[in-house]
Amino acid sequence: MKPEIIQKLKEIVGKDHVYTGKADLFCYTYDGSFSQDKPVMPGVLVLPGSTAETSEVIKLAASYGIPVIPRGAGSNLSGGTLPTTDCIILQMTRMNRIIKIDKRNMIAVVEPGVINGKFQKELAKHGLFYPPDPASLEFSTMGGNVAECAGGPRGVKYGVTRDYVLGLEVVLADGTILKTGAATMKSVAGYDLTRLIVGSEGTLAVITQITVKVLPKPEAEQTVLVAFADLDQTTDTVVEILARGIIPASFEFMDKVCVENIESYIPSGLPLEAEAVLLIEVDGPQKLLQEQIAEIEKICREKGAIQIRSASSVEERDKLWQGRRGVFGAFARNYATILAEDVTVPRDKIPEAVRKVRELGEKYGIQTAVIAHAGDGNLHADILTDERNKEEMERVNQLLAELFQAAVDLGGTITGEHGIGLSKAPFLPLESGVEGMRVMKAIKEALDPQNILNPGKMFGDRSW
Amino acid sequence: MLHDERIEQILYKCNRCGSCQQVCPVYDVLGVESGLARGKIRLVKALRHGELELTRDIAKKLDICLQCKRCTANCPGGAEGDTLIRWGRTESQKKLGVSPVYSLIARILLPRRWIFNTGLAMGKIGQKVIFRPGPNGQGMLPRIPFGLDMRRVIPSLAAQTLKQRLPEVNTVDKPLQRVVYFTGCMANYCYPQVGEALVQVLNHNGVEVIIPKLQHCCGMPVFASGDIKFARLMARENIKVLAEIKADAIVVSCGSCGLALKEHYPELFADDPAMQRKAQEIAARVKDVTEVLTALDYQKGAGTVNEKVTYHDPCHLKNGLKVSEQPRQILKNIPGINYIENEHGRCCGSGGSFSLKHYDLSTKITDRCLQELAATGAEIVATGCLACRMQLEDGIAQQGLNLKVRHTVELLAAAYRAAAG
Ligand SMILES: Cc1cc2nc3c(=O)[nH]c(=O)nc-3n(C[C@H](O)[C@H](O)[C@H](O)COP(=O)(O)OP(=O)(O)OC[C@H]3O[C@@H](n4cnc5c(N)ncnc54)[C@H](O)[C@@H]3O)c2cc1C
Ligand code: SF4
Ligand code: SF4
Repeated sequence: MKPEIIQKLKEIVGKDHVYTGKADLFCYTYDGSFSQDKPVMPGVLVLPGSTAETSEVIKLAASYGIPVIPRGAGSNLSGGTLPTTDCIILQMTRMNRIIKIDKRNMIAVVEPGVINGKFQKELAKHGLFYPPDPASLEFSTMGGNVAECAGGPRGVKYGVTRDYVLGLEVVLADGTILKTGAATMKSVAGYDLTRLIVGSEGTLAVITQITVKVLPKPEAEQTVLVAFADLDQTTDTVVEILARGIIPASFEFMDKVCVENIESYIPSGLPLEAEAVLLIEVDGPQKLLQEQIAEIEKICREKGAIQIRSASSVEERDKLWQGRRGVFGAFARNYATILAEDVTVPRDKIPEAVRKVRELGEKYGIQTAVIAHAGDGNLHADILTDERNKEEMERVNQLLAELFQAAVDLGGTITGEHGIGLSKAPFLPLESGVEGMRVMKAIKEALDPQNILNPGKMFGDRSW
Repeated sequence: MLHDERIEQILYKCNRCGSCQQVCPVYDVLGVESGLARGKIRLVKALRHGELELTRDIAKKLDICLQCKRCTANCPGGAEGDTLIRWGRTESQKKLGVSPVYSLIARILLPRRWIFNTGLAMGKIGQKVIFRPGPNGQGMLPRIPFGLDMRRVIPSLAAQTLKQRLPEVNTVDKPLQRVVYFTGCMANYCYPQVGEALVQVLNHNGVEVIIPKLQHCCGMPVFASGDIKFARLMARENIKVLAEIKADAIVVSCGSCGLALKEHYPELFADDPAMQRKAQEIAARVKDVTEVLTALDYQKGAGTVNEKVTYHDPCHLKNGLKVSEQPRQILKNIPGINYIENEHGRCCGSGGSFSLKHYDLSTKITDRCLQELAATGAEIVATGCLACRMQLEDGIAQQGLNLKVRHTVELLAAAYRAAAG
């Protein structure tokens, strides 16, 4: 990076917010994703304090044609913030104010650096909540959540990030500040630019302000944990519960490998003969929940559940969730490397997808496990491996390529929530087809003709 | 398992998820990856795998870590940030040498009982030559440039050390238990009243307390800095002293001393099985004083103490010794105490010599911690580590807050006194 650019950046954001030291920059050669590539050093790290500063930084970058990588907490799992060349890392975490919580209109306005979990805590003080709940919510940023269109367990009932973003303020690739959407539930004025930016992974614009709708916090929650000795029974149960008009807030699925690992790490009384377990949580008015839980338990029994446990107090619910929360830790005790894939299929295709994962695991000699948000068909096919074993990693790569194809063949998608980034860029055409790629590239070219915003992501080809 | 193999293994436990951002106090203030556990672990990996050459710049990054173990306690994957960072510090020490501040504190002051003792023998007058009274009449500020930051408030050295005030054996009629009290530097030199309170409450519960004269600093600051050779020397001495005394438990009044004895001594001798066995034998008996108390009928004979109290979790006590419920239980059971919980339970920013070397950063961490403690409306902050106490008192003095810091056993001792009339 040229010294004159560094100098100008310091003038824009203040010298305390520009980092050029080698050790500092090396710490931006990774993110939450698993990458087999050699680390690429960014040229400079910049933390803007306002929209105006962000705009000035982008103008400067545009005038020199330097790539910019917007970054939040760096927790993404698709290589979305990995440098591919000399570039500016634009970390948005200093812009972390909750600007407004408007209880009457049930909307809130936040800056991109606000941590999802902190936002939730503030909202709770007003009796409100923001449904998108990625497992990373205690540390991932709202900007990153919007840019990845993050989802979570509550997706089946409440949808994902895109369902809550009403409007955005963004800085475009030439430094222009643009406001999209409106602070209303309804707005059909022109193209839906808000949705275009949601999930754009920092390739179209830098998000500097987010207006979201929020909901009244449900009065109570109840949880049921059910085990099945047969895979198909779990999906039948999910489909049946939804068909009877009960929409649980979450429907977490874990297969038998998960159960075995959990029980050997934090025994929580899960039956080892189970092929799969479902963790079902309903929320809403207290008096409705009792009935719903009774109904759910009845359906589970009809479908052949071998164990049913329910809980309503916070401590009891925590106990039931313990296994689900501890599953990653349980894997980590036994495997050096865990890749959490996120292919997603229509919900009734889950058993097929789970079987496919197992079949591929056997074919390539790789241990796999499946966790899923069963209500929305979002699978986390966990590949349990060891990155130090190069030959095994080769087989992992082949397995993944086949898995992505299988997801598309089942009418699903190669990524339900983690995004394309660098890791899945080669596979995007598999799902989007030639036409899809052409339209997306046309949009990218129109908004970022110099290709300076997060280049290499989404489209793979580094010139893109 | 050899130490080096273990390091390599826990290195791979970090999958860079970023979850440590919610707990790392240094990241909380600096806001950049190189301050975060994840960043420092990545640097360590790069050093071990030859991606980076060790430079002073990198050594400096590894230096900005409080060794608070919060990352380790929180890590879903089982990576141990503090251990990996210490490995990096050991490498820096080997290759780049020792920083002057560190060498003053660690190599000269800490291991030498006589320096402190002489300083004390010079009495209050001698002390004033080196220190001057701090603002608002609290603590002492160093007068000569130790290489320490001049604003640092250091508690006055007590006129008499704990070991001078109390006999080696503090017994009771028909003792139920016999414990060794590992006082650490802070209780011995700066807060002997805490040591006295500890002995009183244990005696009250029928426990005989031995205070071995020959014990000395646990070596935590030396160990944390990565100076393994020296830390081993200090550990060996203490192990010798402690192994000789027959006792049911070895109690501590500082979380850091406890952690040193319980985890670090065995780690130090990972490559020396005979010594490691001895260290493990001691480690198995180490207990925080509140652990001993809650196993006894400590509520008997407690009178009323009318105070509003909150509790500050010392990182090493909570994340190292896994003690956080016991002191709360004691406080809540003292009649008259209005116990108020604080929101997150932040780190006090002390980190041993961290607070001396990185005064500004440490102060910011302390301020955030104090802000939360003060917000509870409590007037007393109870805690279980005297290094935390010193750090918090420093911040309280600088800010002129209406807060007092006390060790949990001091409040329990007050309750027993109140009942006795
Ligand atoms: C343990 C763990 C659990 C997870 N669980 C889930 C889950 O349940 N559901 C889920 O959906 N994801 C999950 N994730 C993935 C990740 O947390 C999400 O993608 C999250 O939204 C990323 O937020 P971030 O702040 O870390 O963004 P980053 O990782 O920093 O960035 C993500 C992308 O957004 C872009 N970006 C960031 N900020 C801006 C901005 N202000 N303007 C424009 N572009 C920007 C970046 O360029 C990048 O492409 C998980 C990750 C981990 C490590
Ligand atoms: S140290 Fe643990 S919490 Fe932090 S990034 Fe690594 S794996 Fe995640
Ligand atoms: S030990 Fe504490 S200061 Fe050091 S990296 Fe871990 S959390 Fe941060």
